[in-house]
Amino acid sequence: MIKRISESGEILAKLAKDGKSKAVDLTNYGQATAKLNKEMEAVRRDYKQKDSASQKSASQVTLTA
Amino acid sequence: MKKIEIILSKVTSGVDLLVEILKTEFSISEEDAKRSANFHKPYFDALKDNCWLIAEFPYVDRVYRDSYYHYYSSKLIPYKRDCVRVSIFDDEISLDDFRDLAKIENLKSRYRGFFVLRPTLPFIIGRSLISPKALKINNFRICVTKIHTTVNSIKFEIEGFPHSSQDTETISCAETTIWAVMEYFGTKYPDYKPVLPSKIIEVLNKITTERQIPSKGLNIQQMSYALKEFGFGTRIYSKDSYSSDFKKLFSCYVESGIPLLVGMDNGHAGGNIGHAAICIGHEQIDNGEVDNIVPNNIVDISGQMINTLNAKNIKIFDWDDMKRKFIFVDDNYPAYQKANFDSPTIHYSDPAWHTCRINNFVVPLYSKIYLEAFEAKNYLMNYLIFGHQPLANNSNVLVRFFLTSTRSFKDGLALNSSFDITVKKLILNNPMPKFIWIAELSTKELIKDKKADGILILDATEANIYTNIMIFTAYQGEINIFGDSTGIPETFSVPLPPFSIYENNLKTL
Repeated sequence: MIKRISESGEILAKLAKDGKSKAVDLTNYGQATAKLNKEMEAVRRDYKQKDSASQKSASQVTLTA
Repeated sequence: MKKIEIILSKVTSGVDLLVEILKTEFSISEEDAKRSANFHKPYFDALKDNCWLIAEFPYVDRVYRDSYYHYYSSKLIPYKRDCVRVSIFDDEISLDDFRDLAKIENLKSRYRGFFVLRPTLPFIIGRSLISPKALKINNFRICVTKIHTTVNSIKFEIEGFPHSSQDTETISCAETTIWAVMEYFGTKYPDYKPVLPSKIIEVLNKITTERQIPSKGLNIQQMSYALKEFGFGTRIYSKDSYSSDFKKLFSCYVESGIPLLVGMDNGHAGGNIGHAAICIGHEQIDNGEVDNIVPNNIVDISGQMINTLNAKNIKIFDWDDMKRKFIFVDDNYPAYQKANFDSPTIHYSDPAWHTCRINNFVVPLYSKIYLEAFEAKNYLMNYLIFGHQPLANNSNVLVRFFLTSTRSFKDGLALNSSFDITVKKLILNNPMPKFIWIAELSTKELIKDKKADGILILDATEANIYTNIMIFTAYQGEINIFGDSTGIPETFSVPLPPFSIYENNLKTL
């Protein structure tokens, strides 16, 4: 006999049945995501600059001692 | 043909053993032998006084043989082809023990590793792997690999990190660190192979404009190139570029159990010393240092994070800000040197070295890890402050952030009896990529008991920071399961009681 098991499915179904499922406020979620993306744009620009500078620094000193 | 001979010695007579070997096997004069033996006394002083040594010769060491045939054999002065291997055991041993079947298991439990002596005076310490269990001081957590070896015809296993001193001709500190890192990864993971010095030179041949031996050393870019050719997705970080984030990133990768190739120099102090070493771990955490972590020590790129944290009275303590000594494999010293990040060579006897500081490091990442630490950690911090489930007002949160393989993480989680079973099953049954970033949320008091009460899991294969990088979060009484292409999570009210933190990246032996 074959028995198919989805532990996660069973757990999530029970949580929903117990009233523990929370509806995501899509407006709030969208605003938060937009804010996060904006912050990460600044991070990405900063990272590219630092990465490029690191490459240049990496070629300066010979390690031999 | 010379037969194999053995010398037994207590470690406290290690210097005498070395003199004997240098005179009889390497044909060194008594005066030079004594000078060299005394120079290497720290190697024996670091070992526990109850250790015994068994020296076997002649021994064919593959690393030295490679250097011999590619360099030393072409010199006028004749060099010996063979080495001596010295194995270390806890407590006294006799040769009869190796032929008594009833004593073999006991011998194996007392085996503490080996080091090779090569005839390249004055730098005679060759390939070695010594267990921290052999050391007088071993209160640290490090990356370790297990290798198989032989002592007096019996097979043994030992865990530790590979080490060698540089011979300064075929390999300087730079090539030696590449060799040791490849020896570690090559013996631990099937994706990589150990490499010999000639292979390192061959790979670098493509980007050098002059002969490579005798070695004049390498710069960080060259070292990164070599590792990239050996299969890694390397990343380079420099102190001048990353400033206050540099030490945090260093700590983060060390906590992730990744050996870092470290470039240190004293050019800022007008010196001309440049040295490479490997950082493989850190000393055991002192709970007193947890209390000293300063809150909100964040590089605020956009200028809005600190203002938001202050407005909401939120304090974020970063585990990577904690002061502790790191463990280095430095080819100028015995393995497992403890040193502060800010003064990594303060223990050198030559004062010229004291001003050296760590200015660059190379991270040998698995090639499919596309999200590196700087962006990953910034994403996490921004998510906790600006995401759809921000930290509650007046929160005091300690963040411990590290990379790990899903395989190791899920295994550790499955066996973690303190982790809530409902949340555990949801995490274990969630598809994940090969590597993940983990953020454990805790408090100063909880972390002293090695516990946390929140967890966030990020996808280390997702370099597109504008999509959702989160896979799963559980903190502040809520779990979020991400997986839908929309990025909108399934959210449930499920509390997560405190659980034991994940510590499988580094080991205490």
